Amino acid sequence: MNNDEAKKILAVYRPGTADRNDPAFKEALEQTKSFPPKERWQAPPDIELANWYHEHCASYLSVQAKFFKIPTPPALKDRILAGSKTPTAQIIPLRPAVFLWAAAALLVLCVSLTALFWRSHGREDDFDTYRTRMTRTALQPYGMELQSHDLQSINAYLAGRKAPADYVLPDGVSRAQPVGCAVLQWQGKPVSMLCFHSGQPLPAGEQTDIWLFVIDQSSVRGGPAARLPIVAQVKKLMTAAWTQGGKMYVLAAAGDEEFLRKYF
Amino acid sequence: MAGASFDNIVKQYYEPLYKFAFSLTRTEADACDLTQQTFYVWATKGHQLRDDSKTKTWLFTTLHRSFLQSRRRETRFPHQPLNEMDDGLPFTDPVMVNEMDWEQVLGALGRVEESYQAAVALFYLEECSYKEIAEILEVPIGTVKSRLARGLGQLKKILIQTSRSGRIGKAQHE
Repeated sequence: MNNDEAKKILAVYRPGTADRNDPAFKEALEQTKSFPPKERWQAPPDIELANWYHEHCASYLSVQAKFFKIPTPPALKDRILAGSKTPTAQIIPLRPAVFLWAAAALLVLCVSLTALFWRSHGREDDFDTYRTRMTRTALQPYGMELQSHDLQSINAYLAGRKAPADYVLPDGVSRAQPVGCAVLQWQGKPVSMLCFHSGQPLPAGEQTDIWLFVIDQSSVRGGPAARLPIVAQVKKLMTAAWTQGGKMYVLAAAGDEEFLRKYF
Repeated sequence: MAGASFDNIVKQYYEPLYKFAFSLTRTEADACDLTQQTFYVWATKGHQLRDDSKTKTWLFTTLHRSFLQSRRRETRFPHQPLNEMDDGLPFTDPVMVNEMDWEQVLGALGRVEESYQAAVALFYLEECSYKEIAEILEVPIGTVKSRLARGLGQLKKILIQTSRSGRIGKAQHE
């Protein structure tokens, strides 16, 4: 398979999904691997195809994130449940007492729905949602816009895109190998995503096992108010979150709590 | 079928179905109607489905059929094999897309040729494998991929145009 054939196949490949197990993509994916070969006898990576593939993945993820943001009307589920049960419901003649009960039930339902609406809208910008979204991003491979081992280049890239670049790295993280970065958006505010490698062996195709997300503290409602980290498992990653110098940090690592604690 | 309860099925699938419907119609009211209609059909005919694993595909297929019926389409979309697709897709700059909101991206999808829109929406919603997308659209997998390749090409060109016109408008405003 040559590069053009591989590109044609991978043009409809979705990174971070079950497509990676689809045999139709397997051979083309193998061809894109840009990490250094583990054995001397293996062929050197094809940088041109690897770069193309990286651009494809970054492009895909940026558009995909917009589809993820389509909001669902908060009352839709209840309307579906109510509407779909109508055909099987029996029609019962209503008596005055039943009217009163029905009105009361309707009132309770309206109050509940209103509360639910405001609660769900209020949650949009809170810390838990932020941390979950960032963790989800970390679990999607190939999301890096810039691949570099040089922290200065990474900072210049972030600063050029008006993302936080004046962060303070914890001692543990500063000893890890920088791999790259990306600028994400949270409620219209930029988030710096810095990617690192701990040095531990990684699964094939992966380059990162430590992610640090930095955002202005004022952009996230709630969350940690001090330098003392809050540690929590979120999806498949262990996370620690803290604030320092007006910035909120979320450190995520592919490992257990003991592994994570080496880095903050 | 002796599977999950109606409530659980609604809970599991109403959001992805609504997002798919919204990607096709781009109005909240129409998307809500389509989603509700889909579950209404499920409530009355879902028991006929013998295989629980097909529930998701059944729901998406029903929604897509309802959408096509609502548009009163009389002609089927032509099947085009993958090897006839245009070579080379332009990349969209992630930074450019990040500056857009989801309404702009959905608006761009609305300008893509209609026969490609459903495939592109299902592609980005990540709910379905290619096999499932083919079942939902009732076309072979090769046709799904050809529609996608063409649809993605058009979408990316439109996104680039949208971004440029937005920047020009912004500069003139400033």
